[in-house]
Amino acid sequence: MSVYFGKYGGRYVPEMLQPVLQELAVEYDTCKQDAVFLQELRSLQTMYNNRPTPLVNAKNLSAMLGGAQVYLKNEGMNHTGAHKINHCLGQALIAKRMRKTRLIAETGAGQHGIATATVAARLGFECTIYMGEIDAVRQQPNVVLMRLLGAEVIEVKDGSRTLKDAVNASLKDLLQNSDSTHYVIGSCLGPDPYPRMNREFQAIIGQEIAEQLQILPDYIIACVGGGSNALGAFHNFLKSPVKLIGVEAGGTGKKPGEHASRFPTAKQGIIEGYKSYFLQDDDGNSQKTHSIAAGLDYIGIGPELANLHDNGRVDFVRVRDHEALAAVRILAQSEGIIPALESAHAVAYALKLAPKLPKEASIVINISGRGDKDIFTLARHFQPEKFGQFIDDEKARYETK
Amino acid sequence: MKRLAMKQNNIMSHVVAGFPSKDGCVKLLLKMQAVGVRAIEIQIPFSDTVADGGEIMYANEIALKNKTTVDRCFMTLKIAQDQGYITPTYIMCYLQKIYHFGIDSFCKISQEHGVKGLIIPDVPIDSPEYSELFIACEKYQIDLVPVLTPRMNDMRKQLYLNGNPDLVYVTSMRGITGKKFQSSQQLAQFVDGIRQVSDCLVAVGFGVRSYEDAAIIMEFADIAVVGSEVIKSLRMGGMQPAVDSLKRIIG
Repeated sequence: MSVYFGKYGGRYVPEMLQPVLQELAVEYDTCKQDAVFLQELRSLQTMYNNRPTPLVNAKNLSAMLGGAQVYLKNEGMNHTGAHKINHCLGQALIAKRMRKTRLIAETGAGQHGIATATVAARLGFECTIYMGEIDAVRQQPNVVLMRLLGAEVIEVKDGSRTLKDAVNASLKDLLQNSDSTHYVIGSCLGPDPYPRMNREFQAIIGQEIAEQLQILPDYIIACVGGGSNALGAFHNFLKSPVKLIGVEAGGTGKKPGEHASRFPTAKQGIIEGYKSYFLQDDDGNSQKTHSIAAGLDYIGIGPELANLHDNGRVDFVRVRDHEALAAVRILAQSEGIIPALESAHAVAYALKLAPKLPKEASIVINISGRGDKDIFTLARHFQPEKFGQFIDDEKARYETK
Repeated sequence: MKRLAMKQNNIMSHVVAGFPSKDGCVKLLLKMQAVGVRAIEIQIPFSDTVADGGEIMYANEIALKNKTTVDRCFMTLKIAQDQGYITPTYIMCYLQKIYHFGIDSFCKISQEHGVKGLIIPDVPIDSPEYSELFIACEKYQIDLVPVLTPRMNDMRKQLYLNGNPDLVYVTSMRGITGKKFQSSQQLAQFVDGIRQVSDCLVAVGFGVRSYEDAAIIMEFADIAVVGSEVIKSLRMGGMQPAVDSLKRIIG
């Protein structure tokens, strides 16, 4: 089994970590052919998680845009509110087989952290979640929930104090604790076997789209941070004529530090255990990035997507913060679905694309998560005074208690 | 416990280029030379130091704030050499920095600065970059130092040793730099295993904090690497305490 996708991917970790990754790869390759394992996973996906998730015909939005028919694959309907749980369930079952007793994970937006903590509680693991200090501040409600689920949440104060630093902290933990601990990487990146393993667990999204839609869509659009929801939606269609579009975080501008769009400016690099495109400075260090969506605010793109970019199978575009925010409101008011800020990037691009296409065309947008978690950011933009007042009042309530 | 003879001390110390500053690093190299270390590894600062613990991570952050680029690291070495620095020097660097700079260019500039070898913790033997590095290091006559660990796969260990390195670097415990050193049968046995198939020198590192730690390593290896402990003294007390802590370990 190759550890590369074209020239991307690999297992660029110290020898200390090679054995645990090799073991994981062997276990994964065994499990994915094991009917009992697949049945256990299926059972969790349907009886604990909420699969299949709905494919919603966005009639109102499509009519409003006057072009292609838009469908929404609503991964926000997963238990914990995003697609992350798909790979958390899969990896946790593998960890059980490997007799690990502890799960660790990195998290940016908090969704992957919550999904990991949820699965840990359900399947009986100890759990530690690493979160960059800056991310922990802006997603504090998720931190509360992770602790409520029984996880230890460690705020990483090193480096830029965001997602990449949480990944580094997790790798260090794994380096020291690999006997007891499985690292649940939160996207299709990191050293092999994580990129392909996570994609396989997410591929259920695209399989369901195919069954639910019955016809081939013209486009599938997904936001891209690490690439897990995009690869999940795309994988089933790679050999078809469906056009696949990844939407990256355009942030507030094109200058380094204002965005997190790997394309077109990122260069090839080898960071955090894999080779891919990374946003770097002139000397090969990680670049600062920005996105209003914490889950997209990351320097590296999954290696499989890097390869799909190079061979032209997936096109990449970017959407600004303010466009994503506008898209949240438009989708909320046309279809009654509040997308996560990450997913709103895909929605924003679809809003531009749909009107240009004929009515016979169809677009599937992968709504990778729901937007409840973004309440503070949304409130600050849409109702700053009222919500600001609410926060003051709430703080006063805490203090008088 | 064997007493380390001053003349023959077998300590390799570790600095992060650009920490505490460019000039500070030059001074540190010369002071370490004066104390009489056997070799020094100079670390190129990087933003994502996965194998390093808090002290060295901190040093990397400061060095990067001081705009310590790869070019400036070599400049620092040259300045030290102009002031009489002749200690055998290894460059310790994460693969990404070398990859970005260009593997051939990096090996070339290393050779031009009299670097003895490269210590790269995250370039696995089965990656295309390892082969490229191996070829470039042969071309420029510098040593590609494998970073090995007890409990690693035996076949992989053999593949690294097949390259005939002059030096191998063995990490002494599972984990990251700076945690307390724990000697173990396993470590000694692992080093013996290397000696059975290779006449390379063996350096052991991670967590060496005291004369006693170093002495334990000397019983089965050739070189003890001291990094975090000295950097911690440098951070907390400054140049002299750092040099003193190194002197104490050397004995």
